[in-house]
Amino acid sequence: MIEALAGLLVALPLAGAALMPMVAVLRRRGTRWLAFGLHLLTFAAAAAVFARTAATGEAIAHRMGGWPGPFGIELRLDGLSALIALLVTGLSCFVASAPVDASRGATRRASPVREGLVRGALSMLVAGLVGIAATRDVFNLFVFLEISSLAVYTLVASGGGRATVAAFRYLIAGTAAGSLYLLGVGFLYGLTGTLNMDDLAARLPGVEADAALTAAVALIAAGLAIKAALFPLHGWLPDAYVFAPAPAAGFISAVMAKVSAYALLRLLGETLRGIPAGAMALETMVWLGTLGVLVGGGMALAQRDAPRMLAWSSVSAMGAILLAVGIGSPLALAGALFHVVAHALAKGCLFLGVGGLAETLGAGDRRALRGLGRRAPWTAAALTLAAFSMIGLPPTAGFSSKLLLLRASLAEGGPAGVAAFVALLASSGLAALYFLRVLEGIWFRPRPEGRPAQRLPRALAAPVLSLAVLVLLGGVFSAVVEREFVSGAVEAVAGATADER
Amino acid sequence: MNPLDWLAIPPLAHPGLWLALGALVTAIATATGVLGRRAASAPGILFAALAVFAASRAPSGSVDFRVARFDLVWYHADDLSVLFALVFSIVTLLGLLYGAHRLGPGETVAALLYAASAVATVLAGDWITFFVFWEAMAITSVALIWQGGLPESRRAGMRYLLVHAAGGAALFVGIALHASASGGVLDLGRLAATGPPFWFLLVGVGLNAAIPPLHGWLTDAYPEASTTGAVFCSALTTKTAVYALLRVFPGAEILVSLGVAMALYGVVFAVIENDFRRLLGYHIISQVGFMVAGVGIGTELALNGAAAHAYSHILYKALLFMGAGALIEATGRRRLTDLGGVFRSMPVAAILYLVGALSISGAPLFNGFISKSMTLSAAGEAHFYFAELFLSLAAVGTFLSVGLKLPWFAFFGKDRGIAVRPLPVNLLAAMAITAGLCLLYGVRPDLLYRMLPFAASYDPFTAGHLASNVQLLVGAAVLFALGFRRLAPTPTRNLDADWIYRGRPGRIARPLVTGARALGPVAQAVRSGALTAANRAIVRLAAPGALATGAVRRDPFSFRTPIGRTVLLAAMVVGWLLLASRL
Amino acid sequence: MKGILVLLAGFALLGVGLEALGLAAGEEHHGGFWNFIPLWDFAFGFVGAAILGLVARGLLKPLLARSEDWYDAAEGDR
Repeated sequence: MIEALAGLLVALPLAGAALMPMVAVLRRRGTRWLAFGLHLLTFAAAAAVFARTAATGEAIAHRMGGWPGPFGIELRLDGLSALIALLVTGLSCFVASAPVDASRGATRRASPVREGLVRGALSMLVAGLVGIAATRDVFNLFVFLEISSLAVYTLVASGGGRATVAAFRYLIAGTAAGSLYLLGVGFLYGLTGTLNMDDLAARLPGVEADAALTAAVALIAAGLAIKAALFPLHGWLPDAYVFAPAPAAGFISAVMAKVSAYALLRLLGETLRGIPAGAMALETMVWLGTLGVLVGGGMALAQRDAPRMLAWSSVSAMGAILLAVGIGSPLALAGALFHVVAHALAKGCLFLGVGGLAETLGAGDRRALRGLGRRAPWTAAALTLAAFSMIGLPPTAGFSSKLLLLRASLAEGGPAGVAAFVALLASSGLAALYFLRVLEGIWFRPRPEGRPAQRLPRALAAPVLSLAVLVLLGGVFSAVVEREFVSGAVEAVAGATADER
Repeated sequence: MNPLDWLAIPPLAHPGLWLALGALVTAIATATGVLGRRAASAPGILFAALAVFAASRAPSGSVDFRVARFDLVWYHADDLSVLFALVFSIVTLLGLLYGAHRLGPGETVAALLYAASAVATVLAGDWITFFVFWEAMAITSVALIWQGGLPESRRAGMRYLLVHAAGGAALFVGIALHASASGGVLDLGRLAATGPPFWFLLVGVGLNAAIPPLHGWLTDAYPEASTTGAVFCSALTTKTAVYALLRVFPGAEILVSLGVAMALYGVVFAVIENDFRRLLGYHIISQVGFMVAGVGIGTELALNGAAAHAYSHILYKALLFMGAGALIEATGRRRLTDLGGVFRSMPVAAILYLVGALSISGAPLFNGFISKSMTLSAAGEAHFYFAELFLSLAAVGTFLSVGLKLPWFAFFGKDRGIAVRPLPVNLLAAMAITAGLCLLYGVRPDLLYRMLPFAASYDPFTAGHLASNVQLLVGAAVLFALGFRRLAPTPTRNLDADWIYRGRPGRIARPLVTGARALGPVAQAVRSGALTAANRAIVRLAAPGALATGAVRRDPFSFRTPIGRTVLLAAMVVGWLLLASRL
Repeated sequence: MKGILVLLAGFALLGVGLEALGLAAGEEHHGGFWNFIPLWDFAFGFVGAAILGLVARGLLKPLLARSEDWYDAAEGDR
């Protein structure tokens, strides 16, 4: 029974992707609630799967079409996959609850075609991302990667105007990433004759470490690193995040790059572990991640407009996550996963809030946010909490994850560990500078003359507030989060690597 | 049961409790009008006396209080902590008496809470309690400095607060690292002087101990406190840090060099200082250097010396600041260049000041001698000969500034015909009692020695010690007699470490000092400064031609990397991985 | 002035006498070789004070001394 849920996790949103445009054209009113219901249902399935894996500590597998083992396509959710699926489906509910063009003012309603397109794309994106988390087949992973990418291109492009260009740039980068990855998978298949991850892990030690294997690892790592926006391959990220329309941007910025980081962890940290090239790739990732943490933070500090600042801070956060994945100790993985959760919640909150406001105001200049504290104290308080989490101040989730990352990098030691430690500390300082600057405007400056009064559309206010509450809860109950959510995921990876040894 | 025996029961034996109660009673009594403003310090004096009594009878042992999974040891009394708690209580009592004629409710409450936090810090038995009261001390001491009433008091207090917040953050990181390294053991005890926890703790504690270059806050803020406020400040914050070092890092050798450097640093800066309370502030740094060096030497005698010197120092430094305050109250002037020839108008205060000056200089039969020579002997016995030499040099310099230069140019020297207001009785009484204590301990060192944490016996009154000190002082005095004109103060301000945040670098970082309000200029400075240059290089590399377009010139950070470049970089990453793993 | 000179001379004699007493009593002695030079502390007190004065007045003061309102000017816009 529960095994069927694993299949349903992918099938349900995929069906939604096909269903949404039809419903939207035929029956306008119910679309939003139908979409919300569908995402909620998917979330419920993910929660059930997660609860089961957490309770038993065992993975839940579903074989497509009943084909066994290495031959068929296997969906399997262990603690790690289930955590990612839970995060993705959970956040999608927040975004799906808002009208498509919520950020463009309450009066404006999207046309049926547009409504269907955007909602369909969102469903498809969820299907793709959950698929990436669930699949145990490297080619299947590529398929889901492409599914999610196509959906994101659509979502970004739906912003219109400059978003179209951003989407096109993303498309080029994403396609290049996909090609590199596929090439790598091709090499692997040629070497081992299998695509199943467990099978690969079993057979690879028998394969001679020659140029082909090295190339396979390098191509897969580089392809996924583009998707995960590892510095210096992050070029697509700022524009895509900034120009996507607000409700969708909240989701994309929260989970898109992180699911690719998950794929990197799965493949490099688990399947391809023990191969010299894999170790080299992980080491490179630590250094590039460290650089990314610093460059992202510095660039964020230099931005004038708030969404771009947030986008650059995402580059910094991805650097932090990827460097921890690169370090690969259980402590570091716990930090990385906690940071994935904390950052997804906080960044989703910020992008929904700031993006929604900026679009209503027609400008992203951070000065447009001045005086928000008096005008909309609750929104301002929510943004403040999320910003605190990004800086890493207690009692928010970001503090606990930053602390784990710092401890992990310190425990790692060596030049890379020390560099990572310093960079992470510095990034908190930089984040304090650029976020406090905005917060100061929000709370202590009067609204600039001649600006329209800012107000977050009500449909966005609810997700923003609830995400902020989650950020706070994640910090206050960080021990619970660590024990109930993160540790199982870490064990899933660490257990697999222990088996291998 | 004798009512006074109740004071031996731990909750009531905690002197900090009595000081805090004093603050509470003062606040309530003055707020409800039961007590006039002029008598605001009366309950404080009473409760401080109770605190002294409690501290003098405090039973050894620990009492804890369980919160969640932490044992908060809020009362941990052994010889070391009781010694500090006792002298903190004594100086609080004396300070309140000294300022009784002018202390308002606000200042009294701030002083009592400050002293209570300091006492609670030294009586804390675990890192969490310690940290909480340590931070409380920072906040209450700023509240006291703000009572100085000058516009500069407010600003200096703000700077002081921010610096201490940074120090507190370092301490917190240190504690967190220590806790995670020790698996959650938070007892306040001896730690190894290695690894990241040590360095963070050293910065956090060292900032409060005013170890250069982390001392700028002291000489910046103490001269801006009120005359009474400075007495409390001089006694509490730095000595709490000395206590922490004694407790946690005895024998950490780096402290020897740091302490010697401190001792000389303070002395040298004091020679050219004109504001006489800042001069005394530099001598706090110098004297704390003796204690830090003693902690670093780490033998039983040296640790005893550091603790004894802290005890003596609190008394004579309070006396010196009282004398300085008396000068300010009587003349309204705070610079040596504005003073001269007031000895005849205020001989009692001047003579009492000289008692403090001779104490700090280590003249035999004053209390500085009995503790300073202990540290010096310990350095010699432990074969830290150069430390001993340089500490002797610092002692010479101390006499030069505090014992000769300051009194000469303030009390004697050129008579400027300054009108002198008479000094109130309570002020002179407080000075006299403090001076009496300095002399008492100087003549009867055993009274102090028997309270010391270790059993090492020591006799300061050997002919050799006496000869050495007398000769040093006479040598310095001869030099001063020959060359005092060259040491005359000038109306100038010397730059010091606070230049980092007040001077040119501070102009960039000033937003941090004046609060979040001005954070914008930081980004502006970063934007228009070095980063722009770096960025132009990046733009050139990433998007040649982009510089020519208007958009980039308006906002150089809004440039977009051409997406082809991302793909090229990806290819380079692949190439690197191929190359690196084949090598 | 004369009184001060007499006082100084008296203390100097006291210092010499005490040192002699200490030597006569055969007190234990620690420290670098310099501590065994007779009347070392006189010389050290004098020369040390001179060195401190020179370093402070000759080296630090030219480098660090500013007008008294320098910080106010540096902090400017308040």
